[in-house]
Amino acid sequence: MIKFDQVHKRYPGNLEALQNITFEINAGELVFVTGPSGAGKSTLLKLITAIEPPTLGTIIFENQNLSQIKSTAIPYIRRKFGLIFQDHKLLYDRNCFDNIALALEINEVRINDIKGRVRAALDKVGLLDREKSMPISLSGGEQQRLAIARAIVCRPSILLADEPTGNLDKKYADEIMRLFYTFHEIGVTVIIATHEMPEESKKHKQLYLQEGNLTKITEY
Amino acid sequence: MFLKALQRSHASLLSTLMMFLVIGITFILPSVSFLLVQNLKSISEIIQQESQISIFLKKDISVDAKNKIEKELKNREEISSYHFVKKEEAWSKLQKSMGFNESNNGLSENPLPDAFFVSPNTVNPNQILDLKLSMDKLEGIDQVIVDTGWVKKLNSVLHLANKAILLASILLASMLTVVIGNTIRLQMISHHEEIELSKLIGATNPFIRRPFLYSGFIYGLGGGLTAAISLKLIVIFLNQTVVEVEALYGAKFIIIDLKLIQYLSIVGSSILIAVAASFASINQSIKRL
Repeated sequence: MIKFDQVHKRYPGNLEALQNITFEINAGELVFVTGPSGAGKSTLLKLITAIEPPTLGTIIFENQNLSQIKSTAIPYIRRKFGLIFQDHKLLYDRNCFDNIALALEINEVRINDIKGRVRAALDKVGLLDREKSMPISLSGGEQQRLAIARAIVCRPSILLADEPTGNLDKKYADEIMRLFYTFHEIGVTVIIATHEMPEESKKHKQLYLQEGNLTKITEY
Repeated sequence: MFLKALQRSHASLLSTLMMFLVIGITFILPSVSFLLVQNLKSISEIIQQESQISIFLKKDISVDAKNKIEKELKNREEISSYHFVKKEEAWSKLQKSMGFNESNNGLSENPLPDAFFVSPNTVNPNQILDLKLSMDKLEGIDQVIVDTGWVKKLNSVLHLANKAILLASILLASMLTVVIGNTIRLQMISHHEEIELSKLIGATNPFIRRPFLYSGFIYGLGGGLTAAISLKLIVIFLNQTVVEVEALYGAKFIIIDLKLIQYLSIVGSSILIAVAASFASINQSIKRL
């Protein structure tokens, strides 16, 4: 599904973020990308989602070479991913319903289908009763669940989460992780970048990054 | 999405109305000038149509020469009508109008010549000038006077005014482009989080562009309608004032209104400028954001 072959990423100023990265992720896997801060975890996710292009090497996603993709095709690639960010990236001037509806509008879903699908996504993350609430009135855990609802509403084949529990206390972090395990169980490929390894991660594939190098791949 | 752009405009109602006003006033200024020039032009055309050529004959002209001139006048295509005034008839009319009689006019004899008064069927100043020059060459003619000189001057002033309006319109349109472009740019900056997020989750540039283009369209439509309605009200107001002038001078005078197509052109141009300015501004901002 995703294949990295000798991928390098260098940012302006000669900052080498990733060096000679090679790995493969198959459909339906739950993968933890781990390592200390500054190891290149976020850069790796940005390369997968074509937010950043690689400096060298090849990235194949669903038989498409992301290294050579046209800029006009990038939005359509990104629609195949469900993205979850550490800072949630919610729109605080819109209510929960509209935050999720935006993803469906971008994916050109018919207006008549939007209401049902938003409510289904909110139900999945346990926020159905908060559809009219503004994000600011939600707790940190609820905000992250809202961000997950936005990521899954378009039924992506891959969920990518960048430090999804980074700002949450343990109780909320466990709630969020349970949601990811649920999506994995129904066949969604899940990639989570985190520096805190939950106990459950030992049962899944782990990519360990250090100073931009992929130092270890653990598979169970 | 258009509904959302409308809601967004409604949410910032005051700034939207201000924008309508800015665009409206910018369009009213050249439109009113254009309207005035058009009215002056039509007045000058009426005056020109009423203008005539006065052909004064030599005092000692023979009957044969006078007949030749009359024949020439009859044969000229550019002359619609003419009439002959004998010098006695003219003298008597002049005396009557001035309140003179034979004893108190101080003149020993009639100073006026026989004359033809010609109405040309053209309003073209050059054709009238040609006619004058050919008349000048005829034998027995003392003087040919064309009273369209000042109309010609007025025409050239109006021509200049038209050019000045065109130039002012271009300058105002450029100013409008900058104002609308800047407003849209500020709108995009205030929505940069939404744009950034939308791009991350797969929005195409046309999707991002659309609501801001709709905003530009709403500004253009609102501004154009403001200009058209204001202009109509100005014409109604001026025509009401003209009634008072009519009463004072006893002359029939009315401000000629713009045609429907011209009102539609104002609205159309306003929309076109606003959408074009928005498009340019959005494209610049998308690259930066």
